[in-house]
Amino acid sequence: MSRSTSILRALWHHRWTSLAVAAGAATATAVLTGALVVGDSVRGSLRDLTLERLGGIDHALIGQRFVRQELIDEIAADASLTPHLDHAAPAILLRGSIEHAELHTRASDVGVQGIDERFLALFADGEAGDVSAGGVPGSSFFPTESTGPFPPVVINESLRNALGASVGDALLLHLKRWTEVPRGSLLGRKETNEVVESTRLEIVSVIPDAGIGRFGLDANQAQPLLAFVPRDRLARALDQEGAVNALLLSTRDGASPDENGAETLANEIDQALTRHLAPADLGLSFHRGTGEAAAVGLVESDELILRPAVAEAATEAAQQVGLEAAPVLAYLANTIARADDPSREIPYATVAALDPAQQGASGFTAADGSALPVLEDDQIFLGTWAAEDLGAAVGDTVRMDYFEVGPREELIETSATFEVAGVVAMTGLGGDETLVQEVPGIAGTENMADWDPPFPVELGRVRPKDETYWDDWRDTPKAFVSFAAGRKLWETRWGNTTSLRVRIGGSGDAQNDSRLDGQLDALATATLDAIPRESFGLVFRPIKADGLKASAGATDFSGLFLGFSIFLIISAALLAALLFRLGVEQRAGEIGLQLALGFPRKTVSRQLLKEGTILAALGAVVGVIGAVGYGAGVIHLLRTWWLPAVGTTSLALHVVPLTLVIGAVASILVVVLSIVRSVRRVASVAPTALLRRVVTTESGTQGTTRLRWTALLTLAPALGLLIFAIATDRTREPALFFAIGPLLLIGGLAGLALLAERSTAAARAGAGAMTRLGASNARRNRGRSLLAAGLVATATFMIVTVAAFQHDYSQETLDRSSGSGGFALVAESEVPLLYDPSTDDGRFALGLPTSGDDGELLADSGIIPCRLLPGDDTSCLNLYRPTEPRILGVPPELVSREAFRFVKTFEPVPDGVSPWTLLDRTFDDGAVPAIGDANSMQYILKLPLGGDLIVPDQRGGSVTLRLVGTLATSIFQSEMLIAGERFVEHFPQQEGLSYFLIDTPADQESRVSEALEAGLAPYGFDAVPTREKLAAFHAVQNTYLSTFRTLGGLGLLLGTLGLAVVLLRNVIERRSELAAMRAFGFQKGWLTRLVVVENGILLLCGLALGTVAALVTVLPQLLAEGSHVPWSPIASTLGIILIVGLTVCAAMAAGALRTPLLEALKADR
Amino acid sequence: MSASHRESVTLSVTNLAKRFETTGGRGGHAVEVLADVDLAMHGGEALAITGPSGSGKSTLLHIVGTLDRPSAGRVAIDGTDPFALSEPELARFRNQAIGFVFQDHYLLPHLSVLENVLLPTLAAREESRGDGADGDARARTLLDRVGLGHRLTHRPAELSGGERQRAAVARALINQPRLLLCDEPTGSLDHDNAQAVGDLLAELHAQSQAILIVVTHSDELAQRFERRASIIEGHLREVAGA
Repeated sequence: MSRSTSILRALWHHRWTSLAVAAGAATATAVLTGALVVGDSVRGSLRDLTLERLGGIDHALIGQRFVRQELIDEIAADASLTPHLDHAAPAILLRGSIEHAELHTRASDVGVQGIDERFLALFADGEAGDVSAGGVPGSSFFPTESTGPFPPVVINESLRNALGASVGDALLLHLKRWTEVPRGSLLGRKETNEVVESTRLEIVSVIPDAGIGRFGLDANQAQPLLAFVPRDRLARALDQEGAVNALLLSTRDGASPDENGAETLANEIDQALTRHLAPADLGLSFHRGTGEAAAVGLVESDELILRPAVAEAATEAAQQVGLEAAPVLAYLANTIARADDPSREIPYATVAALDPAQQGASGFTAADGSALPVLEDDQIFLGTWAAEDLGAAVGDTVRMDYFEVGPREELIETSATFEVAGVVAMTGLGGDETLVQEVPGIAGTENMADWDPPFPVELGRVRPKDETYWDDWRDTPKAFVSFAAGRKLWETRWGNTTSLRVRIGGSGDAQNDSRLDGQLDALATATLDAIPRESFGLVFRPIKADGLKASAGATDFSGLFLGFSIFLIISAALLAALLFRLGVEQRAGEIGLQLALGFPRKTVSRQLLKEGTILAALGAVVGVIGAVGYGAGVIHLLRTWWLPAVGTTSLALHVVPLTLVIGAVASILVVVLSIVRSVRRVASVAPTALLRRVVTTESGTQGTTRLRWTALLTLAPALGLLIFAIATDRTREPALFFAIGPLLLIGGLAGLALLAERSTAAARAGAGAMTRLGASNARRNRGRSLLAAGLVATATFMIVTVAAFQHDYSQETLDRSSGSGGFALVAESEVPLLYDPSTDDGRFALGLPTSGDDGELLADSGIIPCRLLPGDDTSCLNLYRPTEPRILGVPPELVSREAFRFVKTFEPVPDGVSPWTLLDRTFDDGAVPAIGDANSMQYILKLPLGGDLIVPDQRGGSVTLRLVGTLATSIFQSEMLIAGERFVEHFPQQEGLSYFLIDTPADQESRVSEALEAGLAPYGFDAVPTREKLAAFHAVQNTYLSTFRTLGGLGLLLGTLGLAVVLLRNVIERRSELAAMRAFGFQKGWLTRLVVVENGILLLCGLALGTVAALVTVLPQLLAEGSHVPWSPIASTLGIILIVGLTVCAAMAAGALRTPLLEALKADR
Repeated sequence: MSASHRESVTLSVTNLAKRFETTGGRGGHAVEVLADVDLAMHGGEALAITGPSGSGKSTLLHIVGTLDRPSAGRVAIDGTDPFALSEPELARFRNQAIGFVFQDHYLLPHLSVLENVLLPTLAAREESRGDGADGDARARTLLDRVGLGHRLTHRPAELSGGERQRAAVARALINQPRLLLCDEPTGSLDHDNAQAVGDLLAELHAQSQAILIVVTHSDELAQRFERRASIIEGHLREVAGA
C-alpha cells in the first residue's frame, strides 16, 4: 500500500466530510473564476459590439468640413494603397434631431447617415448580418422610393420606438446647416432658419438594432438611434452636392495586423491623402488677381478668413518656393466719421489692414503726388473718395465704428480713432478690389439697398453717393490701416488674415500665364503639405483598432467583480477550511496514532495538506463548471436587473479556457492557504492529546500571547492605513478599503477571543444562568467559534458597507452645494445656439416666448449657457475607455455662482476664494486648468489631481488639460470643465452654445423644460431634471452596490451555513453531555435555548464585529462626501440577519436534541 | 535478534517528574502527577503498573514511550536520551524502538487488517525508500500468530473487539521494537477476550524478548507479571519482583 493509496482511501472513507470541503472549494472556485469570466464576457461583448457597429470599416476620416466625394476614389486608386484596401466608401455622417410630423414626439442625438451602396457593402459580408435589405433578402436597403416628394429614410428599431413611428410616417429631420463661414464671426449667419436645416422625410423601412442598425463610430455601448438617408438626397438638402464629410476604408488586413504593419499602413494612407487632397477640400483657393493685380497671387478661404495655421503654413510655403506672402485683413466699418464733425460720416465702408511695404511696387500713391509716410498703428490712409466725402485732410482725426464679436458671439459696436496720415489715389492698392473677398449676401447685388448681410445694417443710412461708389468700385476699401492695427482691432479666434497676397511675377509678367500659374500651383502644393490637417479633421484614424483598444474598457469588470466577490470567496474558503478542520478533528485519534507510530510531523502535515489539496482540486474542477454558470448568471443579471450598470443588453457570455485555468489554480491556492493553518495546528498537537481527541495545542498563556500579537499586528496597520487615507485624502481608494477591511476583521476576531478569555462567566445558578453557561460553552472550542463568528462578520461587513453607501438620489436637493449645483434642469442641443438664451434679446432672436406666461417664466429662469466640445463620455455610463473627453467651456457666471462641492483641489485655495477660480490659473508650460467629477476622474479617466491629459485642439496641435479640482458626485460626470476663454482659444471652430444649466422658479421645471424644448425643437434641445441625471449616474453606483449586496447575501448564506455546521458539530460531539444534563432534570426546551444562546452569542459577535469594522472603514469617505450614515436601513438589515440566524440555530438545535435520552447517553463519539 | 542482544536492551528512568500547568483559579497552579520516579529494566523483562484512575500510570507510559516529555529527570533507552533528539530523529527512534498497544485500538477504519499492521513500516519506508516486501511477510506471520491470518483483507469494522485489539498487538510488533508499551490493552474487552489478549501479549513477549510495560486496572492481568509496580501519590513503588 502506498501513501497515495492511503490518502485516497482516507478521503473516500470520510467522503461526506470530503464532499463538504470540496463543495466549499467548488463555491470559492465558482465565485472567483466566475468573476474572471464576467470580466472576459464584458470585454468580449464590447469587442463584439465594436466589430458589429463598425462592420468592415477599419479607417475613417470625419472632416470638420465637406470634401469632394471623388477624393475617396482617388485615394482608393492610389497605387500604394490598392494592395491593402478592400473597399472604400464616401458618406455623410451627422448628428441631428428628429420629430414625428404628426405625433410630435422627438428624439435627439440621432445619427443621421447619408449613404449609398458602397457604404452598405461595408456591412454586407455577414459579420454584421445581411444588410442587403432591412432584413428582406434581395431588395435594396431603401426598398422603395418614398411615396411623396420627400426623401426616404430607413430608421432602426430604437428610433422607431423612441418616436412611436411606423413605415410610411413622415418625420422632420433637423440638422445643423452646413456653412463654411464661421457662424460666430461678423460674416456668419445666426438666425434659426440659417442655422438649422429642416427636412421632411418618409419612413420606408425599419431595420433591426443589429449590424448596420447598430452602426456608430463612437466608442459607446449604448444602442444608437439611427436614420439612413440616400446620400445624394441628403447632400442636396444640405446644399453640398458632390461633397461628403466622411471617408471610410476597409483594409484587407483587418483591424489586427501587427503593430508595425498597422503603423506602416496608417502612414501610407496618410501620405495618399496628402497626395490627393486639393485646395478645394480645405476650402482654399489659389488664384491670380485681376487687372493691375494680375501678377499677384491670392490665397483665400471660403471661410472668408484664413485660419492661423493655414496663414502660417501658406506664408512658410511661399518662402519655400521663393515667394513672399503679405497678409491682408479686410473688415467692415459701420461708420467712418470726422472726429471733430460727426455729421460728416461714411456708412458701411470696407477698410483693409495691410503693410504697404510688403505689398511691393504697386502700393499706394499719394493723391497729391507727395511721399507717403510709413503707416503707424494709430494712423489711417483715406482713399480720395473717402477723404473728399469726409472733407478730411492729413492731420485730421477720424473715428471708426465697427462690430466686434463678444464672448457669446454677440456683436458689440465699438470705436477706434485714427489720425489721417495720407490721402491715397484710388490706383494700385488704393483701388484694388481684390483686397476684399466677396461676401455672400453682399457680393453680386446691384445696389447696396439690396444687401442681405449677416450683420445688422440700417440700409436707410445709405446715400445715393454710396450707391454710386458701389456701382463704380464695389467693395474696394475706402480706408487703410496698418496690419498691426487691424490685428489689434479685428483679430478673432478664427484668424487675423482674410487673404494672403503673393507677388508671383514682375510688372512685365502679367501676360505670362503659364509661368504665373505654375508659381501658384507650386505654392498650393507646398501649402497643402505644410497645413496641419488635424485642424480640419482631415486625417484618417484607425477607427477599428482604436475601438478595439477602447473595448478593454475603463472599468476592469474582472477586477470589479473580484472585488465584489472577495468576501464571498473568503467566506467560501473559510467555510471549506472550517469543514476541513472539523473533519481533521474527527480524525484526531488517527493523526495521534500516526505520530505515535513514528511518522514525523512533517509527513503527517504533508499528508493532510495533500488531502486538502486533492479536495480543493476536485472542488475546483466542479467549481469551474459552476463558474461558467455563475458568469452566465451575472451576465443575465447585468442585462436585466443590473442593466443600469452597463447600459446595454448586448452582453454575452465569453468563456476563455485560460481564464478558467487561472481561476481554478487561484482558487486551489486560496483554499489550500486557508487550510494550511488548520493542518499545522493539528499536526503540532501532542500525540497523547490527539489520542484523547484534544486538538488544541497551546497552553493558556501561549494562546493569549499569540492572540495579542495577532490583534496588534492587524489593528495597528489597519488604523495606520486609515489615518494615512484620511491624511492624504485617499479614503476613496478601493485598494485601501480592501486592505483595511480584512485587517479590522482579523484583528477584531483576535480581540474578541482575548475578551472571551478574560470573561469570568461561569456556570452558576441565578438570573442569567443560561447566558453565562452559553457564553462559557461558546468559548470551548475557540478556533471553531472564531471561524464561525468570522464568517458571519465577513458577510455583515459587506452588507453594512453596501447599506452605508446606498443613497436615494431621487431626493437630491437643489442646494447649491449638492451635485446639481442648485440647478433644476440641465440641457443640451444638437445644433449649437448662436444667440444667448439667458438674455431677452437672445430669446427673441431664437424665437422663444418673450411675453405672456411662458415669456415671463423664461425671464424668471436663470440660464447659464456653456460651450461644448463633443467627445467621449467620461461617466460610468460608458463602458468603453474614453480618450478624448467631452469638454465644457465654463462661463464666468458659473464660476461666480460658487456652486457644487469640491472634494479636493490641486493646491490650497485661500479662504473666501472659490476653488472655481483655479480655472483661471496659468501654468508656465501652457497647460490648461480643468475641473472634473471626482468619480469620473478617479475611476474612468484614472487622472489624479495635478495629472495631465493631452487632447487634440482645433488649431492643428494638442492641448494639455491639467486637473486642478474634483467635484463631489456632480452632474458633470460625462465631461471635463475648462474656462470659457481657454475653450475659445483652443477650440475656435466649436461655435455656439450647446450645454445649458437652468434655474427655474419652484415647481416650474417641467413648464420651463417644455417651453424651451418646444421653442428650440429645431435645435434638438433636450432638457432633463438634474436629479434624473444624477439618478442615472447613481444608478450605476447603486447597481454595483446591489451587486455587492447580493454577493454579500450569498456570503451571509455561507456564514449561516458555517454557523449551522458548527452548531450541529458541537451538539453531536456533546450529545452524551447534553443527555446527561437531561438526566439531571434539564428540559429539552431549556437545552435547545441554551444551544441557541451559545450560537446566538457567536452570531451577535460576528454581527457586531462586521458592523464596527465596516463603519470604521467607510466613515471617513462618507464624511468626506458629506453623507451621513444611514442607521435605519443598517439596523433593519442587521435585525433581519439576527432573526434569520437565530431561527436557523433553533431549528438545528431542536433537531439535534431529538435523539432519545439513553441512546444519547451511550453515544460513542 | 539474539538473546544476548536482547538482554543488552535497557530502559533507565531516573528521577522522573511530570507537572501539568492549569489555568483554573486565579493565576493557575501546577499539578504534580509524577515525582522522583526511578525504573530500570532489561530486555526480556515485563512490568505491570497498576494504580487508581488519575494516578499517572498512562502519563508514565507516555513519557517512557516518548509521546510526552518529563518536567524533570531522565529517560534513557539503550543509553540514548530520546528527548535530546530532534523531532525527526525522535520520530524515527520511536518508530524503530517502541511499539504501542492502546486501550482504543486506533485501527484506521479505511485500511484492511494487513494494511493496519503494516502502517508503522510506511514511516520506516519513507526514510529507507525500501519496497516493503520484508514487512509484508512479517505482517502476515504476525497476523497468523495472533489468529487473524484469515482476516487479512477485512476492515476493522468487520472485526470483533478482541480481534481488533489482537490486530493492534500485531501492529505494535511489526518493527520488532525494543520496548513494547501497552496502555490498558484489555480495558475495553470482555473477560474472555481480555484473557486471550493477555495470553497473546505474554507469548509474543517471550518470543521477542523486548522490554514489556503494561498499564492496567486488571489485577488478573497484572498477576501474570513477575514485576509489578503501583503509582501512589506520584511515586512508583514496585510491589513484586523488583
